[in-house]
Amino acid sequence: MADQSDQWGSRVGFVLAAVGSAIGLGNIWRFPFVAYEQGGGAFFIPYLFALLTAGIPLLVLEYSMGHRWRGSAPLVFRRIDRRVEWLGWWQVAVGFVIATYYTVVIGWALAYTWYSVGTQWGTDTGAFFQETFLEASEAGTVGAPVPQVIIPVVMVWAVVLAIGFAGVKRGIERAVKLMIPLLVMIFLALVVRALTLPGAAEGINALFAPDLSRIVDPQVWVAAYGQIFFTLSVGFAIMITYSSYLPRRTDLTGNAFIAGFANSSFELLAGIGIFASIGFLAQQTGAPIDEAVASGVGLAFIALPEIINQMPGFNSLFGVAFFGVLVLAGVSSMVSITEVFVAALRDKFSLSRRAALSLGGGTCAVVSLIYTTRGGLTILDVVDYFNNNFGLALTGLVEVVVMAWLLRKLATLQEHANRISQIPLGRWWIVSLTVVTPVLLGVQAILNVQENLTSNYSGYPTGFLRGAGWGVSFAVIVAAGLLSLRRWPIATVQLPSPQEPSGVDVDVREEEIR
Amino acid sequence: MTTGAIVTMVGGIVVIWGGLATSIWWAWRSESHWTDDD
Repeated sequence: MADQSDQWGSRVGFVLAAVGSAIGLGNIWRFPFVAYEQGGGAFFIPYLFALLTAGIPLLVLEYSMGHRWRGSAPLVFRRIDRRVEWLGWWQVAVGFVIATYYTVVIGWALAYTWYSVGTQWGTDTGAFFQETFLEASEAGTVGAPVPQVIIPVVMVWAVVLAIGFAGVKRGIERAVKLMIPLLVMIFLALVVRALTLPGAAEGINALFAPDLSRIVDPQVWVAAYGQIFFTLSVGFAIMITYSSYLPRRTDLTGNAFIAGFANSSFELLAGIGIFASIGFLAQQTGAPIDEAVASGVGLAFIALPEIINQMPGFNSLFGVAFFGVLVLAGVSSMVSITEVFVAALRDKFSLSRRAALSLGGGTCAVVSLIYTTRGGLTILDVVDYFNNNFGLALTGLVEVVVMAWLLRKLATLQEHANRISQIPLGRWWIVSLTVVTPVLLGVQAILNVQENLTSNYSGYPTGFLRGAGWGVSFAVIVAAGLLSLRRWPIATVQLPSPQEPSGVDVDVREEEIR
Repeated sequence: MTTGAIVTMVGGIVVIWGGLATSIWWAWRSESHWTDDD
């Protein structure tokens, strides 16, 4: 079990860790593209609604759950009701799968930090990424491991595990206090430089020009709620775990507002910087902006190197800075994902931090090697897509439905948060979590299922999608069920008495321990 | 840049960054919570 040393040393440490977890690669390569595709400036209206009626309410929910029932996600759900422990393990398993491939993408960014020196990717950045760096083979194949991918991935794992071994206060908190300010300062400098490039105004215009007809399009609203949900690191137990390390007196609601707005502020900054750069690229190549727009891996590892090639000076410096930012954003998120399954293993199996990290992190690192093979890119693409849409999105939806409708715990959590927080939770919080969030996430889930039953994702072969996509998503659920069957150590399930607020039900207190 | 784009960008910055600044200010004024979490 977590001991007293596993506690944040300061409020700023917790907030930076939560913000560091939320700010990841998606802020830089997903948000600008989603905003552009979904109505440009008009997208910001549903996006703000989504932040206030889903993002921040979900953060408060998870902060309150972790703080109220003190533990990793499986332990928190077990303490709430033994029948929903599997949900905690489902979240942990989804996080484990994310960790296996997220490290690999950070490894690519680390390699590209090195390739930036002298712009070693040459003029054909697409060919360099696919053929020279990844040595990518046909979709659905595995192939041999690629040394230039394995080496940076091992280095990333070494850093992530070293931070984890040092613990919450001396490891994660110290790391984020260094990494997040550094990340913001470097990124700010990059955005300022991007704004001064020729063509930047046209790029920013493309992002912000509002297509007001899209505001009434339900798809735009679903996309806005999906973006907020995916960007805030909710739904896979990170915030539950992190808030369990908070001391008794802490401002849960205030922390959620800071983390939510900080994440969106960075996202907005990323949108400005990325589209200023895309405007520059469009002007240099003479292509229309809509042809220059890219997202995800293609934006980071193909389009951005091309933009860096086109810059009038200090190309290597800007390359190192950009990919350094990706590494910092990735590592600060990765330590939070690792902490989720380390905390769960410690709680359930009474392991020390070192043992849990060696077991969980070590297994995760070995599994991640599958993505360092020649077929790694397509395997990663499919696992990521299915794990996000049929893992993460569903665990978040089920969590809200369970807490709001099945177990009806929102009033308990509202009372808990209001007793210690500066900003009181009103009726808006209850309505957001009982109606708005479940409906929007539910619609998104239905659309996802419908889309994937009628067409193959990215045109990949059906057998490949069944194995790497549906198969992994199903295996995650089975693993969660099996882990929840194991008995808990006798003393673990009981909530430590100083944390029990009087007059509030603690279902497990007098319950027989399974 | 079009007027619509400028209005949206400035509006977005004011609301989102303003929201962040307000949240931090709110936390800062309750000084004991900011510096001492027990």
